[in-house]
Amino acid sequence: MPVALPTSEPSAAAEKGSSLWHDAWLRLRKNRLAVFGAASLIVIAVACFLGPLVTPFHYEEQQLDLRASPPMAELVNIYRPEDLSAPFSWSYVARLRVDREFDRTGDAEAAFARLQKGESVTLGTRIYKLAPHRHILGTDTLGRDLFVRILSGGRVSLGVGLAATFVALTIGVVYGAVAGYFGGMLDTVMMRIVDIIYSLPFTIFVILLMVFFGRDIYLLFVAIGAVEWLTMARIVRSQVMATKRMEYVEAARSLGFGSRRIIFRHILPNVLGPVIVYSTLTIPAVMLLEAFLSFLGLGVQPPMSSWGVLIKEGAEKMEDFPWLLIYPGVVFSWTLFSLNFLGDGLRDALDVRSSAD
Amino acid sequence: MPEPILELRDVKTHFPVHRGLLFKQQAGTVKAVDGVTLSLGRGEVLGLVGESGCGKSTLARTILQLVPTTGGAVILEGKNLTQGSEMEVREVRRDLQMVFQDPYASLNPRKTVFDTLAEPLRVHRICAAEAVSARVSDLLTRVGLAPRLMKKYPHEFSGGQRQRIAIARALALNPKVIVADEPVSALDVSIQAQILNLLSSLCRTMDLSLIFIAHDLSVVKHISDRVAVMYLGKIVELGPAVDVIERPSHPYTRALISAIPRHDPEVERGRRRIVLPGDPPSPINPPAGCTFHPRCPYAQERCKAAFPPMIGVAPGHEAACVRIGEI
Repeated sequence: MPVALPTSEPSAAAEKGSSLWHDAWLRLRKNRLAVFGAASLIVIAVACFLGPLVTPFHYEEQQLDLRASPPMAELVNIYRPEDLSAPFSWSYVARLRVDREFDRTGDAEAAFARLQKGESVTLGTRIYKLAPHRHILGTDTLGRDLFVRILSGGRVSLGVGLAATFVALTIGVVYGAVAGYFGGMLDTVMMRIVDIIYSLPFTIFVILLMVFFGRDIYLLFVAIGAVEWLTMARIVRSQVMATKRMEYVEAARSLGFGSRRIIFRHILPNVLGPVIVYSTLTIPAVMLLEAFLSFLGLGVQPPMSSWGVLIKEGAEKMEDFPWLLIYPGVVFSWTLFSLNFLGDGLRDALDVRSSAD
Repeated sequence: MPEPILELRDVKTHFPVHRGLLFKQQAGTVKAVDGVTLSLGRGEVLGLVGESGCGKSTLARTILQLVPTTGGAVILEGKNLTQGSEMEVREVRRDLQMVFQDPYASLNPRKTVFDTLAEPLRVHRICAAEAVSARVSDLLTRVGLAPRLMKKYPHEFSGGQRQRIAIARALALNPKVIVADEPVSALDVSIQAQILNLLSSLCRTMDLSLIFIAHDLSVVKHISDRVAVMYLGKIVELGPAVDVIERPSHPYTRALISAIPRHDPEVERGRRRIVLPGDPPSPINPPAGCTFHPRCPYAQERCKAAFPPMIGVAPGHEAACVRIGEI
């Protein structure tokens, strides 16, 4: 029998190896920016999906009297004396200060002091009382709570980002892997089809889809995914072409494995690194596309919102009500930065060249 | 000679060379393997030597049908592999396995040793599901690795250990023939001997036949029963290992052998190296006649006419040179 290696000790328990995925995970954990990005994304996602359930306002609830109230404005409920059960109108302290009716009372400052202490103030036929809630990010031009709209818009934006990326990933990986693995004429035909679809103007493609199938948010996922998979297919194809020449793929062929097993079990796990990284960079691209489509009126329809819609609306009112642009913009940019940090971190962590050999 | 298990009959593997980006034109053909006839006996170790680029690795891949064959026949136990359907070839190929040159590239980095060895057993249903683990342990023990390492990944092993894993994988399907394509040239010299000993003891204990490819004659001499010397896609000399290395007949073999340094300083001082002028010619456009003639110190006008047939030198020892008796 062959020489036993010095490592063979009598212990029979199998030693656990550390996989490349595990090593990559350890490297990723050391990358502070990537961890920060991942943590941010989790916070944003949890807030978007759970937040609207616990806030006192609903995203389509309009308070037309409170149009464009600034962030953290102290809300005031206004009652008629005959009906104290529900306010008949709303306002906020800063606006009341410039209200002429309020001024006529003579001692406006004393009235505001009482109001802000929580006491009710009777002025003419109106009773004013401080409301228990505030709109922490203010309201939009229809008096809807901006914070809740950002959170519920985030559901749409993140949902579109994830779903469309998933569609792109599935189609692109399978298509690219088949083209790259079999090569030859099949590859040529498949990639020329990709080129042709690439050359179609995206907007027209989406408009056609919308016209034929009606406006539907799920269709939006599909439409964006149907465009984004092209780049994914090209990336996967080139990676597969490089990997299929590796000796372990030849070894798999000489062991008599079928093409499907070789592609999915041997080649794809080894090309997933660039694919994962590209996916994290596709999500922000998709979210921007959704914003663009919504801007054209092809995306989500009111009263639903998305970050793209909010930013578009904010940009229109930027001079008068800057918070309508600033807060959605900050949340959107924060998300994009987080995704990019995470993507960069993943790229470094999954890089084969930097992995221990 | 024992009854052959594997026969190559005039095997040719040519690759087209394309030129142009849009309108591809065939600019030529690389004749990587150009008419190789060989036979491998049961339990025999055949060494295949030649310099880089002479087609050794392509021949190995041709035998395993990993590259399409241009002509000739690869016959394993009477079945011609070049004419079978994909499914048939896959079936027959179980009896024919390969050990690759670079153990750093030949193991899937994302699979544990256990997965690498268990996959062929499962795909080909070599043994019952509950016996897989025991069979993997057995394979690892056979190649001198501790079974407790089976949950580890390739990057956690040294080059020599990886090559042992690659050998274990080749053994998984109980093959009859193993083609080892320079299995030791990527390894440390101290490890080379271990792997060579492992291969030759496996051949004896498991009744394997082995085609052992190398560019190093001293390695081949150590392990082979017979040696074939390859030059530019053709076999130029074939014979028992000791004969070929002690009494080389073909001028090319002589030059190769003269390049081996000797252990004994006395002999080494007297060693006269035959230095071949020039580089090996391009396999796209090989010289007419004997492909070796532009570099051959004994070349004559008639060498340019046709590639010489194999001529017997001694029993079982033949060389492709017209001047065998004269030089």
